[in-house]
Amino acid sequence: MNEADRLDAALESDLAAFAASPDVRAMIETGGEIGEALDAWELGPGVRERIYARAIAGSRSRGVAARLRSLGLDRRVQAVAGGTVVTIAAAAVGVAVTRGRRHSDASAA
Amino acid sequence: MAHRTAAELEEERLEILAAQRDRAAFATLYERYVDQIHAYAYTLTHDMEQANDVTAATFTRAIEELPRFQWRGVPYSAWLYRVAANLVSRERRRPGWIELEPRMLPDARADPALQAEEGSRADEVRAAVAGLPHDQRQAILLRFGGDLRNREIADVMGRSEGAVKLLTFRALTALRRRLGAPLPAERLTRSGS
Repeated sequence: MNEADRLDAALESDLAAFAASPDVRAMIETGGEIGEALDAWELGPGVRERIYARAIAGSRSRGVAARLRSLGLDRRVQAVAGGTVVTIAAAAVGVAVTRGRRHSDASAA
Repeated sequence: MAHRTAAELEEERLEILAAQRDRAAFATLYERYVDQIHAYAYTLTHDMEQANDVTAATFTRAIEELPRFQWRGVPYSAWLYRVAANLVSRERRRPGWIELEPRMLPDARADPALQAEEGSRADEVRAAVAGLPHDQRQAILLRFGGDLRNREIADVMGRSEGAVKLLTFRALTALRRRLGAPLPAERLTRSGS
């Protein structure tokens, strides 16, 4: 077992590895100090609230954007469907007009 | 260095379930992890604005992904750290990225009298961590700031567990040298030379 393995085992609470090397013990001590220093990192209440508000606002705005995107897709579908309806209606009107003309021509003759 | 117990993990699983049912319950998870994620982001970027941005973006993503989040028996922080790590990596890849000198933040809520005595040492320790090469810094922050296990750290960093073990060893050797007395083996070498 090399020193890196021994340190790793000691970090995982292996007491034998901890006891085996003074270097490892020293590094574990340093690790403990680092843990304490990082635990002491504490944001003020104002900063915490601001970051939370930003996170909430960010998720809402992205949610709205996603809904708008899906709405945009729906609109395209509606546009295609609407266009089809208009085309069919125009064709129907055209047919009716043509029939009307033929009918009026026939009765005139 | 204390990893999460099974009971603590179960408690966290229930909190996540509660937050999935009621978004307001997410505040509990935010309160627990905001300092850790912010310390991680700041120590990696050395920039307070970026740390605030990365932290806010991490929790934005957390809120968005909450309905789809699946519990895998590892601390929720492992997932948050991975998101934050990706955001920092994206920042680092930007053309204008410059790594500033570490400037450490004093504790915002600490008793001023205590802060004068203890804060300076905590600042010194955090500055030493902030001065490590990027990968070592990340391994140390995840191990001692996030209390994550090697496999969880490896997952966040996209490295092997063996690589994480070596990074931790090298980082702690360097930090011990910088922060405290030289290691006993080094003392022996010095006295022998």
